[in-house]
Amino acid sequence: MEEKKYETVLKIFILQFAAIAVILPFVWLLSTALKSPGEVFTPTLKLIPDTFMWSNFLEIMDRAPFWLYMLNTIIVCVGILLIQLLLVIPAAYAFARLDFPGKDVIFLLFVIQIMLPLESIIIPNYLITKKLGLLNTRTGLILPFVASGFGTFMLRQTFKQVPNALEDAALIDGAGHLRFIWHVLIPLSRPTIVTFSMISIATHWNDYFWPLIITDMDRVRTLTIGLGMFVQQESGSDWTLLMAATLFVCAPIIAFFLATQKTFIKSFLTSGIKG
Amino acid sequence: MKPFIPKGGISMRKTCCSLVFILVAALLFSTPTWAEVQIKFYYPVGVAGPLVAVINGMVEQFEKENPGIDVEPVYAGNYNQTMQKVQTALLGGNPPDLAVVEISELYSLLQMNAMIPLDPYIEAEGGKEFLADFYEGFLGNAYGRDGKIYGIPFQRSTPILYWNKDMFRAAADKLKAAGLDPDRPPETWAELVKYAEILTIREGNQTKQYGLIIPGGWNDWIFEAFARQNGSQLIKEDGVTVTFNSPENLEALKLWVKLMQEMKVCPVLRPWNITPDDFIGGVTAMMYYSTGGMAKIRKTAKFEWGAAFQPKNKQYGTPVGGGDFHIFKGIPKANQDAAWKFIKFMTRPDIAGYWSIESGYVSVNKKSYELAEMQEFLKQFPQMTVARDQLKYAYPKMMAVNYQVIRNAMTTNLDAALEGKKTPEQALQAAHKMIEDAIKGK
Amino acid sequence: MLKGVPILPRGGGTPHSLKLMKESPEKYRNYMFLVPGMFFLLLFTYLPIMWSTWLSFNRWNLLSPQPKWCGVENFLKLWNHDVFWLVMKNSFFFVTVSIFPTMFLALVFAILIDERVKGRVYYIYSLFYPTLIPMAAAAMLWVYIYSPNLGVLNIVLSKFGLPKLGWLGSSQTSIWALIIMTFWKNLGFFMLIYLAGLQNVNRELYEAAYIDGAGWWRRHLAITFPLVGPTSLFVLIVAIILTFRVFDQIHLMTEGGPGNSSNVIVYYIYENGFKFFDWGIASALTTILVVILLFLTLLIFGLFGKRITYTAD
Repeated sequence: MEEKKYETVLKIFILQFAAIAVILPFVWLLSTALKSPGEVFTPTLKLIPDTFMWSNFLEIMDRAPFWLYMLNTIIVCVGILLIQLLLVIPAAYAFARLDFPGKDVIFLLFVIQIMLPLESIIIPNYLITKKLGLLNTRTGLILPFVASGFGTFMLRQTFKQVPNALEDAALIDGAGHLRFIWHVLIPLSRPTIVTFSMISIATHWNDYFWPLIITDMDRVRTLTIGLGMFVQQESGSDWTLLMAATLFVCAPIIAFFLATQKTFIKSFLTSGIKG
Repeated sequence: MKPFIPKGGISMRKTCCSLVFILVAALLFSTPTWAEVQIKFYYPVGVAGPLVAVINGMVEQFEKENPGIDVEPVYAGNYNQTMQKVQTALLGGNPPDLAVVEISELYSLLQMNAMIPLDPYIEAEGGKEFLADFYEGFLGNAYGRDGKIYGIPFQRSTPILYWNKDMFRAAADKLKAAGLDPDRPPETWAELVKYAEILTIREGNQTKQYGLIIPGGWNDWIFEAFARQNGSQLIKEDGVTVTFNSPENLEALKLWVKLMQEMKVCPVLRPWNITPDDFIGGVTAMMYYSTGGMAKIRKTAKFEWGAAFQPKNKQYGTPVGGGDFHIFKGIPKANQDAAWKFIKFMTRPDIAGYWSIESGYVSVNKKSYELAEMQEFLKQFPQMTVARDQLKYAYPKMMAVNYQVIRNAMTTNLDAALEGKKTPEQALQAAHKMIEDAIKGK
Repeated sequence: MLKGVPILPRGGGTPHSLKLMKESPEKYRNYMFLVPGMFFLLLFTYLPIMWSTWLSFNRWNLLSPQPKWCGVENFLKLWNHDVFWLVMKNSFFFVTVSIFPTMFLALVFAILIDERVKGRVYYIYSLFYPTLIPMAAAAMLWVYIYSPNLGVLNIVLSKFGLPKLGWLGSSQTSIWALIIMTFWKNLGFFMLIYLAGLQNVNRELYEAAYIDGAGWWRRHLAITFPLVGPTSLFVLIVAIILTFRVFDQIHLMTEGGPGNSSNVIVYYIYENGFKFFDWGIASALTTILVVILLFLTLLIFGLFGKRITYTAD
């Protein structure tokens, strides 16, 4: 199947145009984060700062404990992911390969949860978390997200595809449920697990509403909330510092995905995500 | 099981182990602080500027002077968010020890039965004499309906008119031709309109320079000032009688609509936080803004600027604004005592003066202005005295139960009128009704 | 630890006969795999829903600080309140206007990228990276871009001699400003999901169509679009969830204003609960939202359910 020359050129042009259009806001972010305050007070389109103000980053550290926020964010993201995997893998296994009464109904409960994100039932969840005494704790930031209907659904689809022959082989070896999961299902479902994990990390690095409601203290605040608070204080006052803080909040997650790009793209494209 | 182990099983395990390790290590990371009394202090920052660092510095100094007390300052966002956090904490049965909230919220907090009266503490400090150090205008919002005092003023302000002297000078000829003095700001509404018109510079279909900005976001506050200048008010002192739809208020709103929709000398609904930027960046010749924004303008504006009373119509007039300290119920007596100590510290002449210099707020303590340091500072920046002197014409800000709902009703309807989506009459009527409903809890 | 764990019955991937299960004492053990997940699912999803449903029939606000049964009063109040209808209108506007164009363009870009050999990672990441940026950070960036005097957009507009726009500060443009920004953020994610879906399409089909003389557009219209149906369904679900729960950008960029022009349902719930402290109304709104989401779920699964294997077999 040959592409006509003009067709190729046109397609590449469209792609490049879109790519650049989407990247431009980020370039603007980078450039502003490195400018001096005086440079942004005139409405001009200058991309390269006169002097690179690396000190902007030191300055935001002075104004708010961003490293602490980052630590909190990492704890919360990792915590959520680990518990999610602990809960989701056995559940998906049960739905994919075991039988028991009421399976359909219970599975439906998991699937419906996909459509009911925490944000939509924030009021009662806040009340429950309050009753549990988990306001202003990292545990309170983690627990409401650990039962993932999405993860259960995704992994179940993948687990189902593992051929029965492998299960038989495992049985002959005398393996039980757990060994079978650990040694057969998990290795064979790596792309899905990796994909789910990375989506989970990206999602919860993003969380804003829930931490906004249940945290007051700097010692439990996450990056997004720290940024939101910083903004309330600074907004309009100094775009350079604001953009430096914004960059600080999104740089780690972007760096993480860039560093793992090959694994991520490969896993994503081969995982069972397409539904 | 042999066939399956090598295929990624090991690295998976490694990853898991290291993740668990990170989690455990991180959860162990926490630094418990110990002191005899620990108090939590919620506060907002309502204007642009790095004031969190200033507060933290003041807290440190307090702790140095009072070794037994550990204050945990909790910066809770802007005024709305701070009130939300305080209300939420109250509902959670975990009240803060001390908080600064927007002064109009007093009745809502009283409704929640959340605060202790401060009269006993004030008595112990010398009663009337102690209060005499505070500007009277600021104490108007501190009393409940029972006559007891529940708040001590802290970050207090009034809206004032900022003007760009360079721009006035640049338009001197035109101003003189219209019989206006380019060396002073407008003093009446009528003058305000004329100045704003002349100072607006257009190029094609673009406005190069606005004559005036009346920002959005807190336009209810500035509108209350206009109501006062016209001899009316929005809600009476009893916190129940709503006078939002008075003819005087209608006249004020029509003036705004004229400035924004008809004459287009003032942008519609400029965001509150960005407005000082516009002034500093030379987008506008005049702006209404809180005195709390002055420190920033002082530090960044590269032109000569002035601050003035808001122009009058029937009279000069303005509501006060800002936040007061409150001490909460349901915490140990020792914490309440410590909180009072902190309040006393923060309103001391030197500390209140320092806060005023750093932020632009008016110092709540009259004695601050007797300090040599403060006088030196005011000599350099006489603009800083304007808000203080305007206190002569200041009234307490309106207060009512359910103030968050009321404020929302006001801004929503003002916004609609200013954007031309409702006539001024409709907007005031709608707001009036919503406010009455909110007060009755309908 | 493996002792006591019963040996798996043969052919675990296929359904067992009920008879076998009844005979086996391990049938209850199978539940053990679900218990931990179920516990949290019930605690943070289904229990809250039941609680808020009950609360939505109670008066509970600043003036009556204890929940008190009041029948359908909260729902009546909402029904008679202009803002509620405006919020519903905004929510559905936001959902429909942002979802379909995003999905369509995401598919087109996925096809274009799929056809390229060189620079795939570059194209993927340049479209996908906004998904990774926390919404709070993206909101800040766009507040700056939309800022009336210093913002890039208005600078560009005035360079072309066009009048500057109010963007977030005007009720005509505020929701559009949010939609544009949300489009920027979601496009890459949807594109990536489509790209994953395209990996399953049989390339030979294109060859055949090409030989038949079908152009690029016709080829994809006839082959790709129908074949990515299941993927589209998945994208649609993700998109509905993402857009119905929109909150962060509104909280940070417009606070629902001006004049509630950018207020949507989740933000309205937040406003009523945490700002106005009317927990009864906030719960009633939660109930309404849950009903809408459940209805959409049923609708989607009812219409397209056969295409995806969601039932347990």
